Amino acid sequence: MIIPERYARQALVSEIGEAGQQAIRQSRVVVIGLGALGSNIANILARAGVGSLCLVDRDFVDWTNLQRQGLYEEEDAANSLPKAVAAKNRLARINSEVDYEVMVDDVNSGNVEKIISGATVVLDGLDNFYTRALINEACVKMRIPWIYGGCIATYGSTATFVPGITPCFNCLFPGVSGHTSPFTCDTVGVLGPIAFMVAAWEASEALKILVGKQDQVSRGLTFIELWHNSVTIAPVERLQGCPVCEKQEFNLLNRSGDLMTTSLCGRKAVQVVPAGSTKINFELTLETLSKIFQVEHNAYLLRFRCGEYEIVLFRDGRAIVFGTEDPQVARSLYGRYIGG
Amino acid sequence: MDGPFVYLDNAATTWPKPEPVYKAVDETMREFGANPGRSSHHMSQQAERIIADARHAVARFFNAPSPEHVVFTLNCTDSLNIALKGLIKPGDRVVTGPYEHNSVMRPLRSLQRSGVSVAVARGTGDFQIDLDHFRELCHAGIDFAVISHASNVTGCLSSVREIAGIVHEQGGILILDAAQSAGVVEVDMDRMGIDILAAPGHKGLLGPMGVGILILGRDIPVDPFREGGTGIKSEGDYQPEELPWRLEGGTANLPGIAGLLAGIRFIESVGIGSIASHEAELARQLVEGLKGVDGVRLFCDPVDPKTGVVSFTLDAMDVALAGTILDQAFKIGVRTGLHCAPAAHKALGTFPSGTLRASFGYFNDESHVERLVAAVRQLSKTC
Repeated sequence: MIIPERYARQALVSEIGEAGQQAIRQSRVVVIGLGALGSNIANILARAGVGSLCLVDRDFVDWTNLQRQGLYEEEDAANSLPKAVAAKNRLARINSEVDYEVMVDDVNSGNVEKIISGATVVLDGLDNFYTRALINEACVKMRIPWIYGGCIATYGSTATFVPGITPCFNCLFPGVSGHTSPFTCDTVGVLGPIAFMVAAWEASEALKILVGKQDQVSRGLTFIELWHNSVTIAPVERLQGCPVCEKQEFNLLNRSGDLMTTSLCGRKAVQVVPAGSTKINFELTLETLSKIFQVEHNAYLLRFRCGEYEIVLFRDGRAIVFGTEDPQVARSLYGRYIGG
Repeated sequence: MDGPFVYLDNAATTWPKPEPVYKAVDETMREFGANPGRSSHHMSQQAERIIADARHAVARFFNAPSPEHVVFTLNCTDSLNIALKGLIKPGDRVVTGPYEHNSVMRPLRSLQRSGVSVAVARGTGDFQIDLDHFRELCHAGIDFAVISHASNVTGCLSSVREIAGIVHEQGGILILDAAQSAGVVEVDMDRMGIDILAAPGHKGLLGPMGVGILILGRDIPVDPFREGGTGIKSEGDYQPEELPWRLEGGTANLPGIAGLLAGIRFIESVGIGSIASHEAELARQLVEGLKGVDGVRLFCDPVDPKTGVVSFTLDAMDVALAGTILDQAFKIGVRTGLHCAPAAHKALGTFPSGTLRASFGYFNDESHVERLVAAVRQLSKTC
């Protein structure tokens, strides 16, 4: 097979080679979450010539995304295009040889196995630990490698998980699915370059897997801080008795989900109820949100306006989002401002 | 707030159930879990016996024409749908009340699309059907009246005998939605002039969810929309004409019906009068307590409630927020919002936010009233 000219420089790299380039061409890559990390990862991997690229995100492009989410343009924000659609439109102009699949939806226990089925590798561009833990279970169960990444403010972290070769995400963060943190890009901000840095790291780990060199992936948790220029890699040990990768217990996959939503009859409002095991830090959330919103609070709840929405958060983590009847919107706002 | 969770949502479903109800469901599944009436073996016969006993108990409880006129359904909504859609034909004229639940209004609105005329009587200031207006509508022509016995929002009772008199005078058939009254106050089909009665098994009758009751008066030909196996006349191409099989295609909810039977027996042992006065007394105490709290507006009988349902709003706080706070900070479960009865809230002026609704059951006591009043007092001071 002759390597097309557009991939010549990549195939010249000895770690890739012609066989590697052909393997990349045969691959199916799934990118879940198309924000700062996912859009930049998709950009790199589409240019690298993957066979098919599945783009999954439930959100819409807004103006705050343009600073760091490399695939989107002003018109996408003006039209509030779904991120998966805007990404596909742009990528099709970048590399029309790739077969794109677009999915504007939540990833949940009901669809995750279908989404990642047949994937050579799954890349994480998510903003919450519950869904990452869910993807971990699905990837362990289906023996699919996946790459975790996250970034916020001036720092980010990433790790690669290859079933059978490395420990799993639950070994690194045991039981993390029930934790939320009020520190999200929407509450404490994010420096543009850190998104590109972590995305580049994840994409290069993916290329190792795509060319069949699973044994050469990073074995630790990489922590990158851009403002003070540090990169550290902490070793990750296998968790003794890990329920996921050792015992193959898939508790999240077998349950309905983390955030339950109910729309309030007759009102433009949606109630969001996190799973019973989820804990929020109410005081820290109040403190964090107070820096960016005018937050009213009393002994039982806090409330703030965010554009056209009013969000009321109760002490136990339940919330009511006024101003929408769409559970996706309510869930997304919850993730952005109350806990990711 | 210390103490166990206080359940004040008995109008949605009663909880807890009497101990014999749990036992009956469990025992039926373990000991008599055969398909009732379908086979000649003894276990199937025992299962059929339970259903026959339940039919008998229900007929006696509501003073129905006969046990055969008692049809077991999925729930009260199912009963109402079977009756309304199996009976009312294009061109028929229906009169209904101002406080109806969606289980009445949605089937009626859908029938209206196919050419049924639907007239809605006005309400009065004290949450009653305006009988003068109702009479006026009936005089203009009526084939069916569909009325709820007790409102699931205000807890107020309709004057069924008087309504039945008006309906029958004009040659109409009275369909009563007893969702909130069956097992809560006395319901006597014969004495009250009820032609068709729909009731849930899991509310006042104290049974499990998934079983409902439809009782037809004599000679009311309801067409079945669900047809299938009945265990009788299997050789025929068509659904048998005889009640209850005419409307009971498919395997019955045996454990549910056994639980319902145990619930009815429990009510009979306590006495429906004692249950009614206990729940009404708790409602009266709550109303008295809430009258002393600033900014509380009551939507129920302010002096002499007849059932355990009390709706109210707070000036200080949205009902959805208040309901969540009552749950998490005070461990009290009430229902908030429209209670599936938007028509009632439009009539009351509480649409679209609805009300907070506390509803008492036989197992509530005065301490629960005190807990709720204290909590509401505290909420009324919170902005």
